[in-house]
Amino acid sequence: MRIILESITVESTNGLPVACRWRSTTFRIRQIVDTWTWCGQWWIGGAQRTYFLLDCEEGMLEVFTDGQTWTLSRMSD
Amino acid sequence: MFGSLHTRSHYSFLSGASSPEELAVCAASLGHGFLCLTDVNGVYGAVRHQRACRQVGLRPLIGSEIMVDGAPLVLIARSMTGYGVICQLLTKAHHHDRQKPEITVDALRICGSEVVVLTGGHEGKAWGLASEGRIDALRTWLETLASIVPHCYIELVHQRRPRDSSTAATMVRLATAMKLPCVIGSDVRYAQRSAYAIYDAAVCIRDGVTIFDHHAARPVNDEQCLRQESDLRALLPYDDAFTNTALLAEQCSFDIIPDHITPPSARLPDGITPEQQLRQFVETSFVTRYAQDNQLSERARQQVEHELRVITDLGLADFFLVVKEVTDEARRKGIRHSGRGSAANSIIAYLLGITGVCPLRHHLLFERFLHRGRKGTPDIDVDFDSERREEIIAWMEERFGMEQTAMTATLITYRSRMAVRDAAKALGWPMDTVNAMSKSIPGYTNKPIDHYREHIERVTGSAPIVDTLLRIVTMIEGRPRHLGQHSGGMILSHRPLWQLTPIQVAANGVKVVQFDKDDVETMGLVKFDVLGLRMLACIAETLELIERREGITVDIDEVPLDDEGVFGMIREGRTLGVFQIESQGQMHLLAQHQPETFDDLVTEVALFRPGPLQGGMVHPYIRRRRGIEPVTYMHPDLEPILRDTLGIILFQEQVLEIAHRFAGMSLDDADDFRSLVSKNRDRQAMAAMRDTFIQGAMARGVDHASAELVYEKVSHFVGYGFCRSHAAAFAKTVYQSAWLKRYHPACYMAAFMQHRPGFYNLMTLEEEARRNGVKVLPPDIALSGIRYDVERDAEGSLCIRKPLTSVAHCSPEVARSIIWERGHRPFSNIEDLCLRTTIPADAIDALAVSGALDALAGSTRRALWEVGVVRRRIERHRRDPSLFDMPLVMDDDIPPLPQLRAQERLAYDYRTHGAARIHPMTLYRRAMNDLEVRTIATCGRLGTLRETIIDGRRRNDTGIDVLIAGIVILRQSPPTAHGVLFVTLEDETGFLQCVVQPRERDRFAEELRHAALIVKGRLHAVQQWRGVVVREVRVLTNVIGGYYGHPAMYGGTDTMELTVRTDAEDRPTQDPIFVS
Repeated sequence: MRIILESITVESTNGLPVACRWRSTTFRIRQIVDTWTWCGQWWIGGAQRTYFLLDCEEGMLEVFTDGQTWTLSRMSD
Repeated sequence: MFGSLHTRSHYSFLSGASSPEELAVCAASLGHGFLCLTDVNGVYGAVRHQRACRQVGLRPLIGSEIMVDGAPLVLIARSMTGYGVICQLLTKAHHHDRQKPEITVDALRICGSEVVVLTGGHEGKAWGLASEGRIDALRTWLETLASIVPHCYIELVHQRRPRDSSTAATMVRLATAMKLPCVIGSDVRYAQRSAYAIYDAAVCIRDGVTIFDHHAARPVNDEQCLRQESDLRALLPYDDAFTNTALLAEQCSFDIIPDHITPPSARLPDGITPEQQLRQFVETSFVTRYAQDNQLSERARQQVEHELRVITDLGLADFFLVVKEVTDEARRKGIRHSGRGSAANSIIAYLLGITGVCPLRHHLLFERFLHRGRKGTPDIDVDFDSERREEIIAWMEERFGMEQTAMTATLITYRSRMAVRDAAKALGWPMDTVNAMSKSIPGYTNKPIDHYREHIERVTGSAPIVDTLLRIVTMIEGRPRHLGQHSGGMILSHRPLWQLTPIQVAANGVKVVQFDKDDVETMGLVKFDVLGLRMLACIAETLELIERREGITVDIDEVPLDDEGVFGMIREGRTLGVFQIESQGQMHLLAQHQPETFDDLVTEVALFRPGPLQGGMVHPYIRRRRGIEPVTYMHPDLEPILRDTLGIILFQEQVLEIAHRFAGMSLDDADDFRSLVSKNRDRQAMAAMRDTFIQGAMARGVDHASAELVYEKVSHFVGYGFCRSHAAAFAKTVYQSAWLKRYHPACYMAAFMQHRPGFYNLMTLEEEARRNGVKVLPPDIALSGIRYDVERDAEGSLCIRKPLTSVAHCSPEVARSIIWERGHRPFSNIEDLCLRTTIPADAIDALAVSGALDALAGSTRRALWEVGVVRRRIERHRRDPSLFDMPLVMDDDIPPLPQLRAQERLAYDYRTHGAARIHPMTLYRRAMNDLEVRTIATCGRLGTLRETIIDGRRRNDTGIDVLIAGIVILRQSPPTAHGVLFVTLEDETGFLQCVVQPRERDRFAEELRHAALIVKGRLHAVQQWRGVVVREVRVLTNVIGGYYGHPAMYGGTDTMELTVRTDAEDRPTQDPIFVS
C-alpha cells in the first residue's frame, strides 16, 4: 500500500462507502474489510477520522472521512 | 445482564482516567447490571468501587489486571476466597519487582475454582498472537492457561481499532475448536468518551513521552469507554459470548465491606474474656490514680463504668488491650511515648497507661473519642521517640505476626503544582520552563488552576496550548498519582492480611497495604497510629544526658505542673526550642496570653490553629482571659459548655457538645456535624446541617435569632482546630520540654541540636544555648563523639560539645572509625591520625577546617597544611617503601602560617559544621553603630510601653522608630495572615519579628529576598515581646562583605558560605581564602 492523502469522491449509505471515484477512475467496492476510528490531535481540536479498508475490484483502498470530506489515505500498488 | 468485566479506574495510576464513582454512575446510566473493577496490579479502588456500585444498584465484581510472564491477564474473584487468592498473587507480583510487578504463569495454579482468568484485552498475549495470525502459538498459550486455570475465558474486545473485527473472529474460531468459552471484556479505561484526552495525557505522563510523540501505548481513539450492550453486539456478533458474560457475572458474589470489625487478638490468660481482663487492668490502675482523690473518685467511677459499657457494646475490649500491650512494651523497653488525639478523652485509655492526661481534670469529652453510634474503630494515636519507633514496629510485627501487620497506604493525589508539572512535561515544554511553571504555583492551594493562569503565562507567554494545559490540569487534579505510605498507621489483624489486601513493599522496606486509612476502616480492619515524634526523642535523650552528666535522675512525668520558674520563662517568650510554642507567632501570643497554669498551656496550644485564628476567636479569648472585656455567652444554655473557655469556642469537643446539647442532635449526628464544620468543604451539606441545627435548637425552646447566632459562630470554627484532648496531651509535652529547658538547659539544648525537632537553624540554636548561659564547644578529634554531648569546662560549667558527625562529610561510619581507634590510644598528631584511620579526603579536610584537629596541630591552618602534606607523602611512601622509616611531616615542611582572622574562622565554621562560634553580626557591630543601627536586645529595654485602647482594642505601638539589622532566620506568610510577611531577624544579642504589610512587601519585594537586612520601622511591644512594623528595608550584603546560602533563603540547610576564592597552587590542599 502506498500513501496518497488526496481527496476522493465517495458515495455512501448510512455512513458506509458503497462506491469511490478518484482521478476519473471508479472503484467498485466488493467488501468493507475493516473499519476503525482515530481521534487525532485533540489538543488542537482535531476532528475524529473514521477509516475504511475497502476491497475493490480495482484493488485495495484505505479511505477516511472526518464527517465532512473523504480522503484517500493509501491504496494497493 | 450485561456489564464490563475488564475496567480500569484512575486507581490504575495514570493507566485509567475515571474514578470508581464515575464508572459506576456511567455504567448504571447505560443500563449495565454489573461492573467489574480490574485495576492494574492492584485492588486499590475496590472498597470505593463496591460502595459506588451498591449506591447505583450495580453488582460489583472485583479483580485485577496482573502481568503474567510479560503480558497482562485479567483475574476476577468469584468469592471472598478468590479475592484472597488475587491478593496473594498481587502480593507475590509486587515482591518480585517493586517497579514492574509480575508473576509467572505457574503461580496461577493457586487460582483453583475461585478465580476466573480472562485472556486480557488489546495488551494481552492472546490478542497479540491472534492479531498477528500466530494461531499455533495462540493455541499453545491457551492450552497452557486452560491446563492451569479451571475457569479460563477468552476475552473479546472491539474498540474500532484496525483489525479488531478479524482478530475477534480468529479468537472465536479457535475458542470453538478448543471448546473454551468467550466473554465480552470491554477493556475499559475511562467512563465516558470525554475522558479520552485525559487518558491520553495520563499515558504520556506515565510513559514519559509528549503528546507529539508516537508511542504504542497511547490510545488511538476514544473507544475505551463504557458502552451500551447494543453497540458492542453490533461490533461483536457472538451471542454465546454475551451469554457467558452474564453467567460469569452471576457466579461472582462476595462482600469486602463487612458489618463488623476484626480487631487483633489480645493476649489473655486461660478462661478470661477480653472484657474481664480489661476491667481487671482498669480496677488495678483505678486504685492508684483515683482511690485517694475524694473529689474525683466518684465521678471517675461513673465514667469508668460508662466507658466500659460502651467499649463492651462495640466489641472493642480486645483493641484496648492490644494498644495497652504495645505501650507497656514501649515502657518496658524505655521508649518514650505519649498518647495523643481524641484517645486522651477516655478515662480507660488513661487508666491503661495509653495516654497521660486525666480526662476528668481537664474536662475532656469521651463522646468525641467513642460513642455507640460510631462507625468503625476509634483512632488511638501514640507518639513514640522517633529514633526508636522502628523498634516498636519490629516488636509489633513479631508479636502480632508478619502476615497480620502492615502499614496503611496513602493515596497521593494530584495537587495543582504537580499537575501543572506533569501536564507541562506531557505537552512538551522544556524542563527549564516546566520548573519555572511549577514554581509559579503555590505548593498548597485550594484555588482553581485558572486563578494561576497569569502566573503560568508569565513563564510561557500567552498561547492556546496554555488553555490545553489548564484543561488537563483541571481534569487530573485530585486524581491519584501514586501510592504512598501513611506516617504511622499500623494495621493489626487477627487474620493474615493477604486475605484482605495485597501487600506491597515500599522503597524503605516497609510493608504497605493497598488501601488508605478510610478504606482500611471500612474493611473493618483496626489501625493503630504508631507515630514518630522527634520531641519525644529529644526529651528522652535529655533525661539520659542529665543522668549521665549531672548525676540526677529526673522523672519528667511526675514533675509538678505548676512550676513558677517554667511559667515565668514561658511568659517572657523565652520558648525557642520548646515544643509547639517556639514559633514567633506563638511567642507573640504568649506575650498577650501570659499563661499561668497548665490549663492555660492547653488553651495556648489550641489557640494558635487555623480554626480559632480564622474564626476570630483568639483576641476575644485573650481579652477575656486578661480581664479586658467581660465574659458573656451567646445563650445561657451555652454556659456549661463554654464556661472554662470564657464563652469562646476553642475546641472541637465544644462544637460537638453544642450540636448535641444545644441543637439536640444525636451524638452520632453531632460528631458528623463537627467533622463537617472542621473540614468546611461541602457547602451543600453545610446548608442542610444549618437547617437541622437551627430547627433542633428551636425545638428545645431557643429563639430563632439566638439559634442562628450560635450556628454562625459554630460554623466559623472552620479549618483545622484541636480537640481539647489532643491539646491537653500536647500541652504536657510543652510543659515537660519547657521544664527541661528551664532547669537543664545544657542537656536539653544538646539533645535538641541532636534531634532538631523544631524549625530554627543550628546557628540560632547555638545562639539560644549561649543566651541561656551554655557554651557550645566546637568539634574536637579527641573529645567529640557521634552525638551532641555535654561536658564540664575548666570552671565546672556544663557545655555542649559538638559531635564529629556535625562536621561536613563526616558520616557516622567515619566518626565510629575515629572513635574506635581513639579508644585504643589517643592520636598523637595528624600523621598518627591519618595512618591509623581511613578517613576520606573530603572528611579529613573538613575536620581540619572545622578546627577539630587544632589540638593535634596547634592551629587550623597548620592542621590543614599537615593533612595535605601527609596525604601526598602517604602516596609517595606507597610507591617507594624505603621511605617508610622517615616521618611523613617534618617541621621544615610547614611554613610560617598566620592565624585565622575572625571572619575566616566564622566562614570556616559555617562551611564545615553549620554554625559559627560567634554570631556573624558581631563582626560588623562597629559598622552598624556608625549607621546608628541598634542591637535587637536594646529594643527589649527601649522606651515605655504606651498602652492605648483604640476602638476597644489594645494597641501595642510604642511610638518609637527603630533601625535594626540582622540575618533572616525565618520568613513566613501563613494563609491566615492575609498577605502579611513575617520576617525574623537575628543579631548577636537576640531575635525579633518584623511585620511587613502587603504594601511594603510589594515595595521591597527584591530586598526581602536577601539573607541579611537592615529595617526601619515602628517598634511594638507586648510585655517582653518586641516586634517592628516595617517601613523601610535595605540589603545588608554590601556592608558585611556578602554571603549566600543562608538557611532562611534555601530551605532549612545549615550551610552559609561567604564569597570564596580557592587558591590551590601555593597550598598542599584546597585551602579556601575568604574575601571580606
